[in-house]
Amino acid sequence: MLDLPALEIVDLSVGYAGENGIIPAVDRVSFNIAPGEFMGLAGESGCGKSTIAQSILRLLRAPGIITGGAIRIAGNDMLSGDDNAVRALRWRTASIVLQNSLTSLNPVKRIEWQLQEALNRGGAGVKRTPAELLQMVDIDPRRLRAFPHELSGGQRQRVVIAMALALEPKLIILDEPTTALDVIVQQEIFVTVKALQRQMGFAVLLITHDLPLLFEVADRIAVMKDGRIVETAPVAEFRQHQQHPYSKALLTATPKVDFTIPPVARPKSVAHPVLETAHLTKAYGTNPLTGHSALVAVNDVSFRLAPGEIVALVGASGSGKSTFGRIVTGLTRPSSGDVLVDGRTPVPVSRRRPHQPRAAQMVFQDVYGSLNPLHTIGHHLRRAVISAPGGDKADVEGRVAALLTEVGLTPTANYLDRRPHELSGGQRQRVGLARALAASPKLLVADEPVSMLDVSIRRDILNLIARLRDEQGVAVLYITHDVVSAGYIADRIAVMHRGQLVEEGLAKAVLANPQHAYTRQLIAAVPGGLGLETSSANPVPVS
Amino acid sequence: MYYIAKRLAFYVLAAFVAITVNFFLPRLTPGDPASTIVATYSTSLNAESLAALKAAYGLTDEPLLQQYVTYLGNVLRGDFGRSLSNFPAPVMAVIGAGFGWSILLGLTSVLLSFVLGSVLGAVAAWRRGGWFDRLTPPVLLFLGSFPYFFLALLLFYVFCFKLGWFPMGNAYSSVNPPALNLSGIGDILLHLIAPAFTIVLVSLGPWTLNMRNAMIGVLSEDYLTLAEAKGLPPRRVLLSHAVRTALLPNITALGAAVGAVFSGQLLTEIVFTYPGLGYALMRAVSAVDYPLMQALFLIITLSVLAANFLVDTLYVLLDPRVRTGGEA
Repeated sequence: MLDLPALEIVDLSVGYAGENGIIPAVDRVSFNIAPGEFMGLAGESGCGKSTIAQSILRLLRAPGIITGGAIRIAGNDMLSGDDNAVRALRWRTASIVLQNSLTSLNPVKRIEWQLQEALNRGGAGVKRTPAELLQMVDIDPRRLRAFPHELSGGQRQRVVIAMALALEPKLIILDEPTTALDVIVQQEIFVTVKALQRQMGFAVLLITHDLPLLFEVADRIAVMKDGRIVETAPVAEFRQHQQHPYSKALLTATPKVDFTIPPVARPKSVAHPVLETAHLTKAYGTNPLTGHSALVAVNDVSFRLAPGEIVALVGASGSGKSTFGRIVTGLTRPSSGDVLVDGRTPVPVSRRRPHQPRAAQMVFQDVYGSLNPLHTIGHHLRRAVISAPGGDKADVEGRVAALLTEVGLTPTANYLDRRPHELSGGQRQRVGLARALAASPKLLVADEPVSMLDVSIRRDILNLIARLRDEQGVAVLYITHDVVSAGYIADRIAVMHRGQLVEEGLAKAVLANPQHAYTRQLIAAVPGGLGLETSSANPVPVS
Repeated sequence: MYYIAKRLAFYVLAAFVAITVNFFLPRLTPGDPASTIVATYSTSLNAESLAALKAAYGLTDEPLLQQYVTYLGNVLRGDFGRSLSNFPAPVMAVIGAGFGWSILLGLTSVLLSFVLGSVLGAVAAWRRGGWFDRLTPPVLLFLGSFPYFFLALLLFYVFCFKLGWFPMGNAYSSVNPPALNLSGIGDILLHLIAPAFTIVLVSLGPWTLNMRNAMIGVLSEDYLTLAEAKGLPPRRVLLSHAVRTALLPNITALGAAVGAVFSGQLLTEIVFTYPGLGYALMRAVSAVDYPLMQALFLIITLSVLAANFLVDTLYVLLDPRVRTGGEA
C-alpha cells in the first residue's frame, strides 16, 4: 500500500459542454503525487487547474464532463465507480479546501456541528473530537460554539483545514486557499499545514497562481497552460532553470523589487504638495457622551504627497488604508483633522457641482464590478469626458481616443463599441485608468488595482501606472497589501497598521531596512522574498 | 437579545402610531360617522333619546385630547364600543366570534402553502432542469394568475354545488359551534377544506418560485460543494445544508403572509360565507357599522405587526448572522 502514489492522474481530459459541442478545458493531463509529497500546480485563471481539483473528487458539475483518462487516489479508482462508491471514498481518501473561506462553511451552523459532521463520515472508528481538531490547527477549542461569521478569514480557513484532516486522508487538495488572505496570515497557515504534514504524512496538491509561494512550500511544481501541463520539475531544479518559455514568462511576470536600480532622487520638500493631511482621524461608532469609539479606522495620520510622486500605502486588511483612500477622494468624511487635495478639501460626490475641479480620481479594485455591463467602453469614457471639469468639450471623440491611446488600448476604434464582458481583466483595468484620467486629475488613488488580475498582466498595469506618472505628471497613491508590488512601483512607502502610519520612507530603504516590527513581519511573510534571484546572487554594480 | 428588544420597541411604537391614526382619521374628516348617524335620527327622536344615543356612541363635546386619552384607555381595556349592525352587542364580542375562525382558516392555508411551496421549490431546484422543474413553475403561475374570486367561485360551483363534496358555506353544520369532540372537529375540518384549498392553490406559486430561486443561489455556494466533497449522502446535503439556508427568505415572507391573513382572505370568507373577520368586515361595510369597521382595521394592523414581530424573533433563532445586529 505504501508504494501506491497518493494521487495518480493518467491522461485526464475534461471538457465543458456548450452549444458547439464539448470545449476542452483539460487536455490529457498526467501526473503523480507520492505519499507525503507537497505538489504545486501553478497556472493562470482559465488554465484548467481548478477543473482538475474538482475532477479528482468527481465534484465537477454540468456542463463539465470528464471525457477520458483515469484518476486514482491511493489506488482507489475515482472515475469508474458508481456515485455511491465514489461518495464513500470522498473525504476518506482525499479532501479539499476551497478558496473562499467565507462561503466554505455553512453560515447558520456552529463550527462544532460542522466538524462533527465530517468526523461522523468516518463511522464508529473515529475517536477524535471537534475540540481536538481545532487544537490541531491552533484555534482555541473554546471557539467551538462560534458561528463562521464570528471568526476571521484566517481562522475560518484553519477550520476548513481541520475538517479536511478529520478522517486522515492520503491527500489534501488546497485550491487557492490563501488568495483572499493577507500575506502574514498566509504564512501562518502554511506553517501549520507543513507541520501537520510532517506529523501525519499526508500528500498535498496546492493549486495557485503564486509561484513564489510554491517555491517556499512545495517539493515539486507543475505548470499548466491552456489545459495542459507544460512542465513538471522539483522546486530546486525549477528555481534554477525553467524548461518551458511559459514557465519563464510566468516567473518573470511576478513584480520584483530591483534593488540594483538606485532610487531616483526627487525633491524632498515641495511648497505645494498635491495631497496633505494633518492629524486625520476617522472613528466609527463613537459614543457621544464618553467619546469612546468602537473602531478607529484612521488614527491621527499626517501625510504628504508631492506632485508626480508614487507613494504606496501598505497594510493588512482592516489597517485603515482603504478608508484613508476614501477620505482623500471625498467618499468618506473624516471625524477630525484636515485633508487638502491640491489645496482644497475634497467634496463628496453627491455635493459636487459640475465643472468643479476634481483633483483626485479613484481607480477601483473590482474590474468586473466597476464598469456597467450594459454600456460600451465608448459610452463610459464619453460620460467621463463630458462631466470632466473645464477643458474643451468640442472634441469629445478625440479626447476619448486620446485617453484610450494613453492606456495602450489601440487601435481605439476596436474598443469603443465593445462592452466590458468582451474585454479581459487587464483591458478593463486600462479602461478604468482611462476613465480616471478623463478629469485630468492631479492625483490618482488606486486601491488594489491589480490584486484581481492574473500575475502575468499585473506588471503591465503597474508599468502603465508608472508611465502615466512619467508622461502626465499625475501623482499616485497606490493602496495595497502587497509589499513587493509597492517596492516595484513606488517612490515612497508608507506602512499602515491599525489605523496609524507606523513607518514611512523611500521605498527601497524601507524594504531593505525596515524600522518598525510590523513592517519586518510583513516583509518576512512575503513568499520568495523581495529581490530578484540574480541580484542577490551576483549583484550588478551600480553604474 | 438586544436585537429582539430593539425590534420590540420598534413594533410597540408602530402599534401606538397605528392606534393614534385610527383615532384621529375619522374625527378629522368632516361629518364623522357617529355624528352622521346621530344626525339621521335627530328629527325622529326626542332630546332624551338623542342624548342616550350620543352617550352610547361615545359622542361627547369634550376636547379632542381628552377624548384621545379616554380612547387609549378603552383600547387598552379592549373596549371598542358597541356595534351598530348588531346593536347592542359590544364590538369586541362580534370580533371575538370571527377571530378564531379567521385564524384557523388563515394559519391552515398559509402554513400549508408555505410548507408545500417550499418543498416543491426545493425539489425543483435540486433537480434543476428536470421535468419537474420545467413543469411546476409555469403551472403554478398559471393558477396564481387567475383572479381569486373567479377561481374560488369556480371551485365552489364545481365541488360544493354540483358535486356536493363539501358543504356550501359556514364553518360548521349546526347553529352553534360544535363541541370539540371527534365528530365536531371532523365537521369543522370538512368545512375548512374548500376555502383553504382555494387559497393554497392561488398562493402556492410565489412560495415555490422564491424557494426555488433561493435554493439555486445556495446550491452554487462553496459550502455545498464542500458538503458534497465530504461524501455526505445527497439527502443530508439537501436537508441540513441547502434547505436550511434557502428557507430563510421564505421565512421573512411568512411574516407578511401571516399578517395578511386577517385582511387577505376577505374574498374567501365572502365566497364560502365563512364566519371570519373578513366576512364581518364585509357586513360592517354594507351596514355602515363604523365602530366595528374601525375596530377591525385596528385589529388587522395590530395582527400584521404581531406576526412580523414573531417572525423577526424566529429569524434570530434561525440565522445567527443577524444576532450580532451588525450591518452585514
